[in-house]
Amino acid sequence: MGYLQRTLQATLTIALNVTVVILAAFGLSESLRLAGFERTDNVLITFIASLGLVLLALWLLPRSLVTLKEGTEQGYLHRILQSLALVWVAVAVLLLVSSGLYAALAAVGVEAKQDLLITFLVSPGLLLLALWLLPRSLLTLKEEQKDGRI
Amino acid sequence: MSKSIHSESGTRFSQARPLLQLFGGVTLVFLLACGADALLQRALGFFLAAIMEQDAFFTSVVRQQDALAQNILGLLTLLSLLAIAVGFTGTVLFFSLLCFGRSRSTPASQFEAAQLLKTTLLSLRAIATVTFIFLVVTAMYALLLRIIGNQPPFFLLAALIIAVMYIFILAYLLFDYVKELSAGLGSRKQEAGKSGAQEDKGS
Repeated sequence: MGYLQRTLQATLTIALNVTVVILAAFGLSESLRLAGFERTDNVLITFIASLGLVLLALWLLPRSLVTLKEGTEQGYLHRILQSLALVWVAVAVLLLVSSGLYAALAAVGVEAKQDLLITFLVSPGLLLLALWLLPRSLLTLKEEQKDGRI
Repeated sequence: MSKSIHSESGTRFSQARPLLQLFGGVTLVFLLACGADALLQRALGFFLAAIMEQDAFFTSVVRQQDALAQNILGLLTLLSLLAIAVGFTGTVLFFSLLCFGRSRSTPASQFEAAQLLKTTLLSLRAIATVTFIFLVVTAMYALLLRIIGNQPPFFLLAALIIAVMYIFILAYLLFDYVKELSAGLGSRKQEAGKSGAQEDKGS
């Protein structure tokens, strides 16, 4: 892999990494706010947790990606980012299908509360289908490559 | 006589130690799964609270939907924690039967400590990472909620789908852990059986 490609890969990985940490920090901050924490405590806790996450991410990144030397190994963080993307895509597709079903049921004239319940009851079936299609190694986050279908 | 008592207690101790390690590992993994499940369900509870807080549609229909979603999430939390508890009991019983049934025929063959530690650590890492991934996915939807405003059924469904998906994946991870442990025990049993047969042939 060329140096430019490795640089791009490193940039993208670090950008994704930072995005994930920012999202986690946002979620934590929102949860703390809704749990009734004061603003200063909220900021302090979120900052300390984010710092820990950044350090953890840097520790998990392959050294070759940080130093831009060899750049062939795929670290644990790469697989986590892949898993995150796949899980998010699966949830997004399921949500779109569920929303479509909800809208169709609403158009037919089903009551809103029942509509939500029916849509929710259908979603586990769709979820099982999505999980069946996802590679097992991505779910267990182990290194086995026997499952090639993505 | 005291020697024989010592050697008997020593053998018992050497038999009990790997068992304790096995049960310790299983307890650790199931405890982490339980804690992670409670944490994610709590985060999803906060997400539902944020959806209600952002609700611009103060109609009774929306409030009914919010209450229904909260009830479903509560039910899912209860069911998942119960399932983890039942799974833990089942696993402990299964391994107890397997180990005590086996120890009569092949007392020396036990689960390798290093293999057990590796399997347990891999499972702990996977549970922690999957929980983090789902917390991030929840945060993504919380951010979307802040950006695009509340769409009544969309975010309620998002919270419920994330909860169900997480429970399924957690169940799969625990099942995978138990499967690997039993496979490890099975291979040890086979090895012990082979060595026993070789000894018989030799004699």
